[in-house]
Order: sequence, then C-alpha cells, then structure tokens
Amino acid sequence: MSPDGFAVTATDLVKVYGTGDSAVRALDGVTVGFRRGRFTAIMGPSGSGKSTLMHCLAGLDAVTSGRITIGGTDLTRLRDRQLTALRRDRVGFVFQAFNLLPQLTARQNITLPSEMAGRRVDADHLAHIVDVLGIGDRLGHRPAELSGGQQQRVALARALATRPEVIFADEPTGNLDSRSGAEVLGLLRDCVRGLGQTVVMVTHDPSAAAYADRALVLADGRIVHDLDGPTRATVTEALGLAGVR
Amino acid sequence: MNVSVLRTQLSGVLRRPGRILMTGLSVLVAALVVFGTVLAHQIVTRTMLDTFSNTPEAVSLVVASQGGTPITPEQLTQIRDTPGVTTLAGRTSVYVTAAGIDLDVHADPGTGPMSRVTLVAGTYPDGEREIALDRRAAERIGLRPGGTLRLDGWQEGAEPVSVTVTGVVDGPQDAAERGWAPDTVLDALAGRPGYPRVDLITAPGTDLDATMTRLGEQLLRDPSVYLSITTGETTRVREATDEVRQLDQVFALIGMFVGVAVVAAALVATSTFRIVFAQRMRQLALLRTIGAQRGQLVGALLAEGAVVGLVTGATGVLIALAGGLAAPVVAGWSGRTITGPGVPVGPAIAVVIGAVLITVGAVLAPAFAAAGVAPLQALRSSSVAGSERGVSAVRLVLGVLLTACAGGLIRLTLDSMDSQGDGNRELLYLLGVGTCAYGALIALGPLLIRPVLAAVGAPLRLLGPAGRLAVSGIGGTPRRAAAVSVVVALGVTMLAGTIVGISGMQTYTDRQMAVRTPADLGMFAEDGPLGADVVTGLRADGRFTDVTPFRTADFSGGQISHVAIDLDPAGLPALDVLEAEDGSLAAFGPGRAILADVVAADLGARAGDTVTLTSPAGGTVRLEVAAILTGEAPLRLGAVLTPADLTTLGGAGPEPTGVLANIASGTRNDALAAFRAIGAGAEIAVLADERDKAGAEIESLLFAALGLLGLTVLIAVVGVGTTTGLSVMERTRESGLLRALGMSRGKVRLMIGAEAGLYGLIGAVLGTALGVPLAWFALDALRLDIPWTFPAGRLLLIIVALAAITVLAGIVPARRAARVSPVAALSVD
Ligand SMILES: Nc1ncnc2c1ncn2[C@@H]1O[C@H](COP(=O)(O)OP(=O)(O)OP(=O)(O)O)[C@@H](O)[C@H]1O
Ligand SMILES: [Mg+2]
Repeated sequence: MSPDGFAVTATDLVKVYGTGDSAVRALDGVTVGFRRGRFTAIMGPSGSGKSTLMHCLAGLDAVTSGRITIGGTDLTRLRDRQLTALRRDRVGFVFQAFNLLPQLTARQNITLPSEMAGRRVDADHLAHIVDVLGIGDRLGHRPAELSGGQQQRVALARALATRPEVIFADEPTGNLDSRSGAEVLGLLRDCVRGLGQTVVMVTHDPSAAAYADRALVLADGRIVHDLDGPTRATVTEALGLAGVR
Repeated sequence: MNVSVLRTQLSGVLRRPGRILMTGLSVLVAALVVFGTVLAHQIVTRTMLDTFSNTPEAVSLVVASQGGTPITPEQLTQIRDTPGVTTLAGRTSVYVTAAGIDLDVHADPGTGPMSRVTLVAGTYPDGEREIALDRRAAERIGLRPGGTLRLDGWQEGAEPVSVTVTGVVDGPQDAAERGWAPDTVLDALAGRPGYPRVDLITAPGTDLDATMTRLGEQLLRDPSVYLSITTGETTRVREATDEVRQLDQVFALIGMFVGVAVVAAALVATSTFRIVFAQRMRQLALLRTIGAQRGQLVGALLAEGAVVGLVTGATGVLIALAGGLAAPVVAGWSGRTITGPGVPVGPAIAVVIGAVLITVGAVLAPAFAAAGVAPLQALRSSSVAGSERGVSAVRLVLGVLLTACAGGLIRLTLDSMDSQGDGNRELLYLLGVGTCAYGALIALGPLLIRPVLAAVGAPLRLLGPAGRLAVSGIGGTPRRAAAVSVVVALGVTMLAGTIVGISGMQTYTDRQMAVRTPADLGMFAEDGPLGADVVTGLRADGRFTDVTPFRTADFSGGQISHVAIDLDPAGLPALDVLEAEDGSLAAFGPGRAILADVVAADLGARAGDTVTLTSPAGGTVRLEVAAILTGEAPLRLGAVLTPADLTTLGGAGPEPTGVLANIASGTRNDALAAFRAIGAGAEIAVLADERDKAGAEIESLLFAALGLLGLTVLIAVVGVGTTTGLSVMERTRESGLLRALGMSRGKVRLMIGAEAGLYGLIGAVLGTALGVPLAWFALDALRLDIPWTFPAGRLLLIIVALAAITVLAGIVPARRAARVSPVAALSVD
C-alpha cells in the first residue's frame, strides 16, 4: 500500500503511435492520480485517447515516455513477465465485449486468474461477490447460455475475485441495454462503496459517468476537465466544451 | 453478380497468400510425395538400365538352354569350333553347405574380360577340387587361402567333398555367401557335364548376325534341342529390364501407401476448408444478406478451392522436381552414379490436375455447408467455438450404417473362413471391414472426442489452467478435433496394425528359431561321440556360455519313428519362448517327457497321459506326458527326455553326441574359430546366422512399412499444424484476453502446444483402438497361423511419439498465440 493513498498514478504520460509523418500523439503529457476506493470515469470525444490511457495505465501497452505506478510499483520499469504477473494479481478488467472464455463455465471464468497465479479462491470472498452480483444460480452455465447483462456480471466477478488494486472498465455498458447497463453501473458503484474497490471506467455516456465519484474529460490526448461528483448535466457541459455535441 | 461474388472471395484469398499455403499445405505435401515417387521410379529405372548387368561388357554372344537340359559337351565343341568365336565361358552355379553355412558356388574364369571377380588374396583356383571364396564367406568360415573345407551337397546322395581354398575374391553379391571356381572345376565337382548358359567372345570385326546364323544352323539342326542364341547386348538389356520389373512390383506397393497418404491429405484439406469457411461465416452471411445466391457462393468457394489446389499442387510438383534433378549431384558427392529423372511433363501435369480435383472435392462439402449460412448470421456476433455442438442426424445414421456394414463383413469373413479358399475373398472382405470401420470412425468421431479426451486429458489438467484450457478448448470444438484426429488415426491404425502383425511374426519366428536354432553355435558328432574334454573345454572357455551337451536316441511311437533328445530345456535362454499347446513345460522332470505336436498326434497322447516309447533295439521307457509343444521339439526333434530316461530308452552311449553353446563375448568369427578348434573333427553349425537372417528380414520389413506409413503420418501432422494454426488465428482475442488476465507467454505457448498434442494423442488412441483388433482379425481371417500379440511397449511408443510430433507441429502457432498483444482482447473487431 502506497502511503499517499493513490492506487494508480500517471506522470507525464506520452504515447505516440507510428513514426514520421503518420505518427499520432494519442497521449500528450497526462498526469493524474486515482485514489484508493474511488470510482473515476474517463470521458472524451472519439479518438481523444481514452482507451489508450486505460491500456497504458493497466500495463497492456507500453508508453512512449512517462511513469505509471500501481500500488507503488513502477510499471514502466517492469519486464513482460513481471508485468503479466502484476496484471494477474493486482489489476482487474471489465471489457465492452464481455470477453469470457466460451468453453469455460461462469465459475471457471471467475476463478481463472487466481488459478493462473496458482492460488485458491477464497470461498467466502467468492460467495460474497457472487451474492452481491446476483449470479449465484448461473455459475454452472457457459457464457453462450447467459444474457449480456449476466455475462458482464460474471466478468465483473472475475475482476473482483483477485481483490485487485484497481479495476479498469472500458465501455462496460456499451453492449448492454439501458436497464442492464444501469444494473452493472450500480454494481460497480456498490463495489467501490461496499468493498472499497478502486474503479477506473472509460465511457461515452454522461449518465454512466454520473455513477462515478469523479469524471476526467480528455481531448487530443490531454486532460481538459476534472469534475468531482459529476452529474449528467455537469458532464454534458464539460464534454460540450471539449468539442462533443 | 457471380463475378463480383467470385471477386470478393478470391481477392480475399489473394490478399492473404499465407492462408492458401496453410489450407493447401496437406495437398502440397501430397503432390510432393506423389510426384516424388514418380521421379524416384524414373531415377531407379534409368539408373538400373544404365548400370545393371550380370553379363560383362565384353561378351558378344550368349547361348542359353531353354529346356531343363544343359548345353552338352558336344554342343560346346560345336560352339567352340564355330568361326569367329575366340573365347567361351560356361555359366552355372551350385548350392552347397560348408561348415554350417550355405555357399552358392558360381563359375567364373577368374581373369580376362569374361570375369566378374577380382582376386584379393591367394590365387584363383585352376585345378581339381579347388575353389575361391568371397570375402564374406572367408570371414564367416574362418579360412585363409590354402585351407581345406568339406563341402556337402554337390550331388544328390553323394559324400561330402574336401576342397582346397586357394584364394579370396570380391565379386557380385546377394544375400548368400558365395564361392567361385572356373567352369570346368565346378563341372567336375558337381559331376554333371554341361552348362545352362555359355558366354562367348568373338574376334574383333566378326559379323555377329552371321555368327548367330551359323551357330543356329549348327546347334538347332536337331529339332529336340532348345537353345536360345542372343547377343550380349540384348542379354544385358533383358537382365536390366527383368531387374526393373521386380522393382515395379515394389513401386506398385509403394503406390498403395502413397494412395492412403493422398486420402489423408484430402481429409485434412476438407477439415481445413471447413474451418476457414466457418471463420468467414460473417462475411458470407453479409453477401447473402445483400443478395448473393447460394449457388453463387458455392461456385465462388469451389473456385477458391481450385486456385488453392492449382497453386499448392504446382508448388509440390516443382519442389519434388528440384529434389529429383538435384539427386544425381548429391549422389555424386558420395561417389555414386545415378541417372537423373528428366522432366516427366505428362505425369507432372497429371499430378497438378489431381491436386486440383482433390482440393475441389475436399471443398465440396464445406462449401455447401458454408453457403447454407443464414443471412441473419451476419448480424450476430457469434463466436466460432460456440457454434458447433453435437452430431447431425445424417452423420449419426451414416456412422451406424457403416458400423453395421463392418459388423456384417466380419460375419461374412468368419463364415468364409470355415470353407476352403485361396484367401483372396477374405482379403477383400478385410479391406471392406477396414474401410467401413474407418468410415464409421470419421462419421462418429465427434461423439468419441469427449470420452477419449476425458481419459487422455486427465494428466494435462495437472498442468494447471493452461492444460485445463487446452483440454476444454478441444472439448469445445469436437467436430474440428475429430476431423483432424481421424487423420492421425488413419496413420496410427495402419501403424498399429503393422506393428501387431510384425510382432506376431516375430513371436512366430522366435518360436521357430528356438526350435531350429536354440543356441548361437552347435557341434554335432560326425563318427562316434564327442570327446569327454569337449564339454569341459567349452565350459572353461570364457567366450562361451549356456554350454548344453545332449544325446539323441531314436524311438518309435505309433506309426512313425522319431528322435528323442535329452537336452535341458532350462539350459538355453532361447528355449524360454517355447509354448505348450497342452500341459505345462514346468512339469518336465524325471519320468516325464515333452512331446512335439506330431509325436503326440502319432501316439494319440494328451498331457497327463502315460506313453511307452520303444527304441529300435527294443528298449522301452514309460513316461508321463508333461507337455505337448505347439510345434517341433528343439533341433526339430520329436521329444525331450531327461538323461536318465533317455539312457533307459537305450540306443545312446554315455558320452554326448552334440553340444550347443551361446557366445558370451568376442566376435562371432573369433568364437567360431575357438569352437572349431575345441571340437575338431565334429560338424560345426553357426545357428546364430540363420536366426539373424530371419530376424533381419522381419526388421527390414518393419522399417520399410514404418517408413511408408510415415507419409500418412506426415500429412496427419501437417493437418494438426494447420488446424492449430487456424484455431490460433481465429482466437486472437482469446489469446489477448488470457494475456490481459495475466497468463504468461510461456503458459500460452504451453496451452496451444498441448492442444496440438491432444489432437495427436486422441488420434493415436483411436487409431490403436481400431488398428489392433483389425490386425488380430486379419491374422485370423488370412489363416496365417501367426499368434496374436499385444506389443504394448511399441504401441505406447507410437502413441507417445505421435503426441510429441504433433506438439512440435503446434510450435509455430503456439509462438504466434503467445505474441498476441493483450490489447487485442479489448478491440471490438
Ligand atoms: N494501434 C494504433 N495505431 C495507431 N494509432 C492508434 C492506435 N490506437 C489508437 N490510435 C490513435 O490514437 C488516438 C487515440 O485513440 P484511442 O483508441 O485511445 O481513442 P478513444 O478515445 O478510445 O476513442 P473511442 O472513443 O472512439 O474509443 C486516435 O487518433 C487513434 O487513431
Ligand atoms: Mg476507445
């Protein structure tokens, strides 16, 4: 546990795709910290660098320059093997396209990261998560037999099962209808409130951002707004200023 | 519209040429193998015609007897007196035995243009009772020039003849050891004047045609004479062609194996196209949505198959051709001369056309299935892995019918086994049983994957999540797994069958050999018993072990007379393989006898019965039958008795009449020399030679079969590699996800490698399960009298080897999967 209470920090992040004329500066000097036990939404127009920021923060992609820490560990100094272990043990993911393994049951999907680390999943913890997410009667089913909302809850349970330092979610409601989307967002917020999880979520939807404690707005690879306690209205306004209708 | 559909599909193919190679790799290998065989046939035939000759270049005319009667001395004189003929040499050979080995003695002048041998030591024989040995025979018999040798078998019923070995030569060879002598010397030894063939040299400038006519007029005046007169050239070509014709049979056999490999390639291609089309389901559905007809899609997909077949077939042919043209050069490096294959254009085109036809045939079923895609499919984001479940009703019915067909044919075979026949019908039935059973395996394969996987995949689960994911990955796509595994199974079925058949043959010959040649060396008294010091001498010599003396005595049972031996069956390890048909060999002891099956039949005895054996001199012994053997008793005799019982029977002195021994150390030739020295005067036999020859024959049979079946296995392995590669391609997202969730690169590689290995393992298990019973059934149906064996070690080796090879085939795809960036999991198409 880092003393300053930040789960994740980024300092002067620069990410350039390609070289020469075709080079794209997807992140252009981003400095930001995410406090433990807080729910942060990242917003911004399409192409503003949201996904890129998240990939870099999660150690999925290498940065061009800058520094990232998760729980005090400097990601930019790690080699692939250590980075992989870090993702496995201290980061959770929720994706837009659910990304469950089709051949595994819901329970097997949830316990997969722990098993890859060679650990048993704490049964009480698992029972608690499953209970909170309301998927107790679905654990024996394969993803193809689950609804989109159920699949996303299983994905959330998988992210929570390892008690990660931080959960990254990229458009977690993008493939869901509004009711299922609202449920998942509510659950994400419950995890933050009830379990003290740190959650960073990328979204396009101002009403999704309203579930968060804080909203960052990106434009052209920079943070242009930083809203505390965002509401639909404040977020929409900030996005408008950043250039989205 | 049709053109535009075609264009969409083909441009897709051409944009990714790597995929052509991947889908058509099996066809490429098949084309390579087929055309490679064609070229090998060309090379061997041409080389043979260029270099093979049993007739020296200098021979200008050949006179050969066509009936059984040799060319008489009178005819010989006529030939010699014919104008133009300068030299002549008789060609004949005699088969004799010398010091326990067979010797094939050939006539050769020894020097001059007609000779086929070169002297390496001593002088070439030219007097009565003189011969030369070839190097191998000299080493085996342990003789130097100047030594003498007793040769038996020159003439029917005649005594052995002692000859002087004057020299050692090198000459043409085959499996037998050879001796050489001038025609007249050989003639005198064999005691039969005349030769089956005479080679002539004519004076330079002689008109051959005129000489032939003159010879004909002279020799064929008597209408009862059957002689052929040909030129040396004609004879040389005919000899080479005969040799080539024998090879053609070999190539016909190779062709059969190549044919099976082609079937395997077609199966692999079908499976690969199915996967590739499944991956393009969304795109095909989109084409359907915007108005493409089913027929148009089928046409486009078939055209794609034709292109793949054309490209890969031509590539395979070109690679084979490059290899074939390089062969003479490569052979030249090791100092051998072979003739190049040329460029057989016709066969090359035929192979390419064949490749196209096979590929189009392979595409047919997958193309119809793919074109049947519902337009709605385009709108669903279906995962390929989730979309195949279960087995269609058609498949199920087909599978059941084929199983029934195999069962029916088994019934028929069993029925026809009772009647007399030449075995051809059974062979045909067997082929049917094999084909039906394998067809059933193809049809019902997807149903078998899960249970087999449950068994063989269990240990993999211990590897943790990577292993478990590999197992469930395969279990999740049973049709795909079945499609590739059955090809492996095809190879393994034949491998397992061959191994069972050959190991049965080995057991059979081992038993036969145990009876005929129970030890490495044998010594048999010629006149009077062996000296008392022989056995002690052998026992004292460290070069020998298992020294087992024996005596023999004649006895009569029911109708016929037999020979009993008092050999200790426990004294020679080779006798452990003897098998009792009735009773137990362990029960042998004083007052008990082991009988050969024929003797038991003659006496009408069963194990446990008491029999009375009578010697010609009138002595009798009453013995209980301990065991009846499945064949003859050791040394092909009738009964084994204890020494005391043999003495009671009478007819044998107290001293041993023979002794058997194994070689403990040193070379066989050294041991043989020592053995001969100790047993001077007795007949010596190198029993080990005979055993080795039989063993070597079976071994080379095994290796030849394994090599040829390797072609099918190779194509199956290519299939596993392709299938794994395509699976990895379509699961890029899954690989990325696993990496994102924290699976290390090594574990991802392990997972994919394990998947590939599982395809091989499942195939190997299915193949063994099919091949072993089929082989047993074949042995019975063909009445080969070969025992059933279950060579567990070799079969296990095959299974493990296949799993290992297929893991290797998965290495490239595994590396590819491990390189996938975790970001790939997050991108939405
Ligand atoms: N792999 C890549 N190679 C080159 N450029 C890239 C790559 N990935 C992203 N970019 C570029 O980087 C910039 C930021 O992209 P990013 O995906 O982070 O945007 P985003 O904010 O997530 O957009 P959206 O809301 O559409 O998902 C864009 O201009 C994009 O074109
Ligand atoms: Mg994005």
